[in-house]
Amino acid sequence: MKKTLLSALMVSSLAASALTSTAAVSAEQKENLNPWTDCGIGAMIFTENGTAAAISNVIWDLGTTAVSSNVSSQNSCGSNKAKTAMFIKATMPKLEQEIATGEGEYVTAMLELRGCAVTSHQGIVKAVRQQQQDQSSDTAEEFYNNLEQVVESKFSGACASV
Amino acid sequence: MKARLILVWTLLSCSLSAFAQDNITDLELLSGHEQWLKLLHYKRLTTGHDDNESYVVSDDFFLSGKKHADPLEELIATLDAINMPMVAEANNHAQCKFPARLMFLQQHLNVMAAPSFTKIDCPDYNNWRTDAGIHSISVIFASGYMSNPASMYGHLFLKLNRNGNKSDLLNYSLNYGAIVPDAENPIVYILRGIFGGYDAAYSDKQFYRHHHNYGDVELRDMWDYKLNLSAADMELLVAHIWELLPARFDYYFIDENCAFHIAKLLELILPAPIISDDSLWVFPSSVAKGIANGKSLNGELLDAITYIPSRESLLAFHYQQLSQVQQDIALKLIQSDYQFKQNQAYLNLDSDSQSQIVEALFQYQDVLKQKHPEQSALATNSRKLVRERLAQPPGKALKQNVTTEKAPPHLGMPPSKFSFGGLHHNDQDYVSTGFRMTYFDDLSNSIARSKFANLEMLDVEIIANSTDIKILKVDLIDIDSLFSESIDWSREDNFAWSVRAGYEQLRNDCIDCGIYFGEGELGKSYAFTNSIVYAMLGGKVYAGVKDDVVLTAKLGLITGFSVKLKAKIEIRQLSRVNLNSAYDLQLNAELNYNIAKDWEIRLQIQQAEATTIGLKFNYFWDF
Repeated sequence: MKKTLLSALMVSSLAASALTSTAAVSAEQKENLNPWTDCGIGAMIFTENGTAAAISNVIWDLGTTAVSSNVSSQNSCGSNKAKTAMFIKATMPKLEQEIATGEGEYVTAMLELRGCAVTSHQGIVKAVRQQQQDQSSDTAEEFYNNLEQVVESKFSGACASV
Repeated sequence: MKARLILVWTLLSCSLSAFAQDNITDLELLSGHEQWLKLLHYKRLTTGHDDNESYVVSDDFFLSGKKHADPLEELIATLDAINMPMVAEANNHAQCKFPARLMFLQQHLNVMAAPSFTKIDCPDYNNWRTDAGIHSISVIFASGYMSNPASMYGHLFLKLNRNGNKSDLLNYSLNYGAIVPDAENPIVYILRGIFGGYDAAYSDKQFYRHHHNYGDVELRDMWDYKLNLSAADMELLVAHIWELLPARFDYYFIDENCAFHIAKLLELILPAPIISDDSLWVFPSSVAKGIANGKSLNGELLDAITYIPSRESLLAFHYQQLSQVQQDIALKLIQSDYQFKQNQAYLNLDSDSQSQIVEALFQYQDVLKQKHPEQSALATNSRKLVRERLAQPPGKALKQNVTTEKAPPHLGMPPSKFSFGGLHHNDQDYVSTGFRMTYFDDLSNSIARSKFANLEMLDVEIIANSTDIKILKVDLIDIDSLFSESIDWSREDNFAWSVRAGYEQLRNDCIDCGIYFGEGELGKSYAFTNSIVYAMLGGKVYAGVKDDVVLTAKLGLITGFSVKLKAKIEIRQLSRVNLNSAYDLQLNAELNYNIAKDWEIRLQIQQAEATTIGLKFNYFWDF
């Protein structure tokens, strides 16, 4: 809870500062978004095995209360890319295993969050799987970059652009 | 009535300050409507009294500006606010902040027909509704988590299910909990959690956060209770959820907790409560029972139950799908830190069999990682497994649709207990009576419970004869967590443990020898068929008729002859800390039979300086 709240506050602060510094986020900015740096995901205190989530949630079975899902929807960090990055960061070990297996509910959710048409899922998974084999990605950020590379190079028409 | 109310509203919309006493009377009737009182979360769902306290404590929730507003005042303030002209920020308009109140008033007063009414477009609310795309609602029960006392009773939250084939993990969920400051002192945390001092709130998150956290990190099974609600009821409920997101409540772990407020939220649209308003304590399992037995305006409240296995349950399910040969090979791989290329037996398997092993090991490795996050070697091993699976053909090699014999939580025994019986104690006969607040013990029917766990709080036993009434014991807390391995892949670092604290008699030969005590023990347990043996070492501190600090050692066996008949035998040795003297060996033997629903009979024999024999009936109940 504590760390998640802190993380949420950090994300909120960053989102708030993004809102105040620019009245509107241009499409170009959204397309060039690096969620890891631009949305503070890299600074979120989630370890990739979910330990922080465990620590956060044992307090009175709380979950988190700081950020509503609608809070960030008006800025670039509410984009498909940013949401996908956060999803990957929070669920990395499971996601990585499902990509290795070639299917799974977390992979499906990730691609839906990324805004990719269902018909493209199988192809994307196959390409990401190949990418993972060729290029070691030990972190969530590397995994995200691999996914983005695949989407942008081969499936840009089937997925959301931002 | 409705026609008169519409007239009243028309008058009101022209001039709120000029309405007549008769009109007030009609609005007063509406302000006493149970659903209006529920929308405001009043503690008492009746009117005509001065106590208008709401569970909501944030000022912004009350448009009249008063926390303890009279329902009529709040109704008039709401009518006034929704009729206000467009403001600069539409999202701040009362119509946008309180869409459920608007729905209620539209239903009863047809407020939108008033000439002065202007419908406000609400971008935030509309976006949230569009994103959420709610088609049905589920209550999710996350099973108890023995690693944290505050989570041992389980947890409840809502899942707002979208339509069609969209991913369940991306559905919105609604959680209720305390807002605990960063770096809270643990003692303050416990005291404020129990006695008050924390604000609480609802929060909406996509379901994957909870699915991953409960299922994969905390290794807790979940149960999805899908509700049978009409479209209109669901609309009102969802609109009210939006109203509640900014609201703040007081948090009390015992009664005004997640289970209570999830139940109260659902009751907005139910014809009868699913838990009693007078409950002194509220457990998630009690709310699950209320849902299973409840009615909605659509008929039965419960539509379907789906089991969501934890990572640990998946591990057991995957393990069972492996052949004995595969299980043995997997064990060798574990012992070699996953040296796949050096395991000839593994290399000799076809790729499908290899994939099955790796997929089962994914679960094993992750369970291990969650229990020992400090071991960096585990992360390296996980990477080896991923690399190995990437080299194999894609496609799941093991079945994923878990079949389970576990029962959903609403089928468990009620948590509270009354007992009565007789006791032969130190050559005297007594009648005995007892009360336990919660939750289950290791000999009771274990349907929907941990099979060999004991989790009891506030357990009191009193004995009396013609001359005496004595408190025999008061267990404030009595927890045993016996680890039962579901697979043969050794995990030597899992421990059994027990904690107990309270008041009891020092010896059986004296009923005036009370001591206040605390004790804790750690050890190992091994399960086989329907039994488990355990051995533990620990310590005990006590004060009262005698003060001492002692070392303890105990050895025990719990066995189930059938689902209804269970027995336990335990011997225990206490010794002074310097080991220069030991107390007598203590023996405790119990036989329990579940004679009927919510009833059991229990025989107990205890030897500690003298012998006590007791026979009692236990009756289990809930609010």
